Amino acid sequence: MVRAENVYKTFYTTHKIEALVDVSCQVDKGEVVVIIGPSGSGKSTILRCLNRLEKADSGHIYIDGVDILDPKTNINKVRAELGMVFQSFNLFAHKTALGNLTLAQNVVRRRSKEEAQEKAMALLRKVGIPDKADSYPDNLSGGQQQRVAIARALAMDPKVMLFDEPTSALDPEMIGEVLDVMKTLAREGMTMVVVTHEMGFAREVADKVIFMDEGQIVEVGTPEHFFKDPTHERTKLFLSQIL
Amino acid sequence: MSNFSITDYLRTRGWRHISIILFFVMVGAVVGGIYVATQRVEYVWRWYRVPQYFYYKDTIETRAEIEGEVASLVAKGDQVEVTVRGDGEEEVYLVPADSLRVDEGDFIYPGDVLGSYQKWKVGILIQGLWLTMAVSVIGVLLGIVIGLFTGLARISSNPALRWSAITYIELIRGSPLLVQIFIWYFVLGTMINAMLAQKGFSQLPPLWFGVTALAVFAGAYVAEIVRAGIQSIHRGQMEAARSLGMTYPRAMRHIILPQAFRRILPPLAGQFISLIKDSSLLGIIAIRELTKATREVVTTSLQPFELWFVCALLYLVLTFSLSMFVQYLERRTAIGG
Ligand SMILES: Nc1ncnc2c1ncn2[C@@H]1O[C@H](COP(=O)(O)OP(=O)(O)OP(=O)(O)O)[C@@H](O)[C@H]1O
Ligand SMILES: [Mg+2]
Repeated sequence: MVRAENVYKTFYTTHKIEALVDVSCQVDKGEVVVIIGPSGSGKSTILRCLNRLEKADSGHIYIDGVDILDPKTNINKVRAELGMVFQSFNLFAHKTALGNLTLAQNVVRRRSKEEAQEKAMALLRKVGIPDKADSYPDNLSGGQQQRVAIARALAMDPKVMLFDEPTSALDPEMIGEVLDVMKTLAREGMTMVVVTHEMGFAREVADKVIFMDEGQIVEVGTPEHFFKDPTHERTKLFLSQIL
Repeated sequence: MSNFSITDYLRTRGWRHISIILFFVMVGAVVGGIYVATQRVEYVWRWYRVPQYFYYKDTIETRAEIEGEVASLVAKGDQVEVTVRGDGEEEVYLVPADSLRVDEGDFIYPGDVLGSYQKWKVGILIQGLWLTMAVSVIGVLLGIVIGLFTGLARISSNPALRWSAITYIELIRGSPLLVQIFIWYFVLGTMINAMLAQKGFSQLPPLWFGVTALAVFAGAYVAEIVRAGIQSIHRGQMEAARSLGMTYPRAMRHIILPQAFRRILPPLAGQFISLIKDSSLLGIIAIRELTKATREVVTTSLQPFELWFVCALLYLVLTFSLSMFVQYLERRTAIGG
């Protein structure tokens, strides 16, 4: 479903930052892959490369068989198939929850108003806040905003969902409600790539865990492998700090 | 019982009251000072002469063109048809009934008044005010269109677009509007009109070049306002829109610009207000807007003090009602409102 091959990405600011160094990984259909790693290790960068919000310098990235780094690829078509959920929610501030869910359905998927609204309401019910349909993002709690953001991505009927630390900006008491939505999705067979520090979530639903450090993939394995006997010293060190 | 002392009063509301009184005393002092100063230079205030430049009664007279007798008066609604018959000639005039000055059988010489009535007409100041409003509104509307596209070009990743936008903005903002108006009228205007004349078209009036100068001038400032407005929107909004599969133009149109608009509105209104005031420069290319109109009235009436105050007041009325309107708009477009 998702395949990255030898991906490199370097940022040039005041100095050179090698954010991704020869990263290769694969996510199969229906799989839930959790990416962990210390701050600045390139987790967000690889995720953003997958939908070309960041353009990889070299390597290949295939989404459902389509090479997204090929200039001939219509990236907007690919992105419509990839739902993305951000750490800072990024809900459209001038639209209600319902408006956030219907806009791209109208503009990108060209659905009729009725169809889009029906779909939107069904998804708001699914994430547990149908009563907030007419609220603006500013009037929602963080947990509610993130659930609307997940619903917004789902409204496009994506084949893969990408999550970049979806609970990191939330107050502790709201983390559960967002994770519950994500767990439901995972159980329904959604293909998911999740960057998170929530080890409980990883243990419970991940099929595969990827540990990154300094732009490289250090270790890949099942959750059991990671929590019982990780191979690399860096992994052990990281896990000992976080658990 | 009364333990209310002057210090208590001062501590509570006293200073506020004293400040308010002080403000009005100061305003009074300035106005009084100006008045006293005008007495020194022996200026006679004649406010009663001002209203005629807003509205005046124009006398309209219908005069006979031939010599003869009033042959008949026939009422037609509230008009009267006056037939004058001379030797071999006959003329018919239409005069409002209540303004009729002749009777049947009267003998008339050419130039005699058959009917005379008065009609209210707008004075030169109102005409000037109207023109000022018109050129400012057209100027700012065109300026917004120019500024929107230039602002978008300014943040484009295409260097040709970006550098064109920067060049335009810097050229316009770096030179005086007065000089730009001269260039538009005396240089570009002459060239364009000469070319039109060669092709057999009629000439463009100064007004066109004046409005163009204002629009191009405002456009450069609007472009910077638009750019700042767009850049003030968190980049996560663009990323969210793009990650849903929206193209850049669609994301701009549906996500970024609607949000930027709210932030753009107040500085845009400021630009509009500036443009209303800047339009006073158009007088130099023979466009009779408010300032030019006032100058003309001053030369005929010789009452400069009253008229320049009135002129300033009229500009204030325009700019003040505009800022009121924008405040109303801001409240109406507030998120969730
Ligand atoms: N747009 C950018 N411009 C310059 N440098 C960047 C940019 N995005 C990321 N980086 C740098 O690339 C490196 C990897 O960043 P990335 O955001 O992928 O890390 P991360 O693993 O997501 O960290 P965190 O847990 O803090 O989110 C960091 O050193 C970061 O400073
Ligand atoms: Mg990150």
